[in-house]
This record gives sequence, structure tokens and C-alpha cells, in this order.
Amino acid sequence: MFKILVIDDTKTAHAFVNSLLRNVNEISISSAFNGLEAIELIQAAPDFDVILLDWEMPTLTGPQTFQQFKNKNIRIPIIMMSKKNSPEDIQQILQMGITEYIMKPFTTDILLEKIEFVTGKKLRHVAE
Amino acid sequence: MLQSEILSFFAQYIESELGIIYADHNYFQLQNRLEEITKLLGFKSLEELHTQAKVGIFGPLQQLLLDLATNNETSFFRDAKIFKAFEQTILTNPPIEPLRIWSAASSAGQEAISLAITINEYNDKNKKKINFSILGSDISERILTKARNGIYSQLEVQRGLPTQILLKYFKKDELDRWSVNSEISKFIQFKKQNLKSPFNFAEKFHVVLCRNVLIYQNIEGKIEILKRMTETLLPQGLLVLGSGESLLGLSTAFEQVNIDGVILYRKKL
Repeated sequence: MFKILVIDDTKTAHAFVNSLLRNVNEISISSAFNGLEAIELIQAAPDFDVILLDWEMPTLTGPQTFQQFKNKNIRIPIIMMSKKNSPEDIQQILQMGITEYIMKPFTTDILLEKIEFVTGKKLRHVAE
Repeated sequence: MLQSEILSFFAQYIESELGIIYADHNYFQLQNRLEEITKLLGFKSLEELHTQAKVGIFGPLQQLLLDLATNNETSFFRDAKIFKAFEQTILTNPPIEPLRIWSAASSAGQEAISLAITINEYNDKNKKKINFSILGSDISERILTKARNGIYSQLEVQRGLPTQILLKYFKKDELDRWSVNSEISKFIQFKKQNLKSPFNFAEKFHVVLCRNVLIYQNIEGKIEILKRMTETLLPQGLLVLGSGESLLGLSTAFEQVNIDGVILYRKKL
């Protein structure tokens, strides 16, 4: 089972990711609505293959959440998702050590490819 | 409002955003997917979705709409294993003269750019100076104009390009379009070429890529194009077909080379 953790403060974002990945077999998608909730989930079950992390969140932002992960030695590949698309912003995120970046809006093929790129695993998906 | 007018509204949006054209006879596919989106976003009907879309298309609605239209789109580094095989066979043992590559049916230039990036990255990592030129050809003048401009939408550059590579080789403009750097584009030329018409190239090539094009030809067409394409290759030159394509029954001028499961075709001496 391929395990994905989505961290985003909005319900629609979770519904959207679930919808994009609806044809992928053998995955489980967990949802956290902020960084602290995510840390609890990871500490309870640390075997996530990849984390999709939103940048713009109240309380802890995506980069701040990532810093917390680093402090707690959480080393799961992370894909940051954001509307921000300036090369400077993206470079800053990659330099922090975040594995990959997706500019919103994005599509299923882009999401699948980024997940496969950062994990080195091939996802099994069925055609519609 | 008529159902067809609603479908036409969304089809026009998708065409303006992505350049993908929904033919009238494919509207049923569009309708099926729009009905899925209607349910997913909690609208009662397609009409209600349309009313919302007229106010503005953004957020989840925008993402879902773009997603429904972009299955099987051309991408950078399509079939990444082919580019690794290209590196292992050609770049580790390059010709003394500049490497000449033809990307036949190059569409909007993603394959040609991916090849140029592959060579540039190889040169950087291995402190080499492999010199090269790439010719991209397509039958459509409209798509060639796009290829020559080297400007791609945000969605297009996210298909196949790792973010580090995107930042290294592309620049973003204020309209959120990304243009390929001259460091890469200076090696690539594009020209109009119908594969069914005679080829008239000044020099022969070391590598010809003709991926997922011949599948649209009947057997006679495939044999005829391959025969003329073979003549454009140097002896020992490589022909690269799509991952599901084979020369079986079409040509005996090549021997197979298997690189980690990728089959390339080397022209016999």
C-alpha cells in the first residue's frame, strides 16, 4: 500500500487531491488540516511514502511545518503545493530541503509524475 | 439554456487555457466529466455549475476543469527511460563531429528541448563538451510557431520537468508563461516537414526520433516512411521509436539494441 499524507487547511483541497488520485490502485490518502495534526499522524504511523504540503496555511505555514519536521527528524519526501510561482520563491523552498514543488493549478498527470519522481516508485493506475 | 451551449462554453474555456480542441462529436466525453465535477463540487446540476463558472473559473473548479482535458498531453521527457538510454548509448560514446539529431514530428518542441537539456546536463556533470544540433520538424505551421517561440504555459512546463531543471533552463514572464533559455534553444531549429513528402536534409543524422507517429499510418505508409527515414541516418545511426512500437515486418535495415528494457534500433553498416 502506497501511503500519502495531504496537509492542507481546506476541505476542498483534500477532496480535490482524492479526486485526482481516484484511479490509482493500492494507495491510502490521509488528511491533516495543519502541521501539528500532521506531526501527530506521522508519529503514530511514520511509514508515509510522500507528503503533499500546502504553503499557505494559518497557524503554521507550509515552510514552518517543514521546519518542525526537520526538528523532529521526519525524513519523508515532501512536495510543496502553492499558487506562488515566482522562481525566487520556488528556489527558496527547494533550498530549505523540500524535495519537489507543484504550482497550482495542477492536473492528475502532473501530481502522479511528481509523486513518482520523489519516491522513485511507480503508481498503479487504471484507465477510465 | 441549451445543454450544447453550456458544453460549448466549457469547451471554449479549455481551448483558451490549454489549446486543446474538443470536437463536437466528443462533447459527450466532456459532458460526462462535467457531470462528475458537478457532483464533486456539490452543485445540483450542470446548469448550476455553468452559472458559477460564468462568475469566474478559479480554485478547485479551475483545477478539475483543466484536469479533465489533459490526459495524454505531450510532455517534456515523455518516457524518461528513453532519455536515459539515449545518454547511455550516444553520449557515453559521442561522434567526433557535432552530434546531429532529428526529432521528427516534434510537436511544440518538448522532445527537442528535453534532448538538449539531457546533453547539457551530461556535459555539466561529466565536464564534457559534446557539441550538437537538433532539428525538430512537424507538419503544422501553427505548432511550429509555438515551438520556435519556446514559450509554454505553467501546466505545460510542469509536465515532465523536475522543478530544479525548470528553474535552471526556463524564465517566467509576468503572464506566468515560461520561456526556454537561449542556452538551450540556440541548439535547436524547427522546420516544416510532412513525413509523407520527400526529405531534403543537407546532412545525415546520428539519431532520429520518430515516436508515436507511425501508429497513425497503414502498413504501406509505415514501410515507405521508414525506408526514406533510414536513408537520412548515418551508418550505425540510431532510430528511436515510441515504447509500444516495433520495426517487426517493417524494416530489416536495423539491429535492436536493448538498454535497460528500452529498445533502440541501430542502422546496419
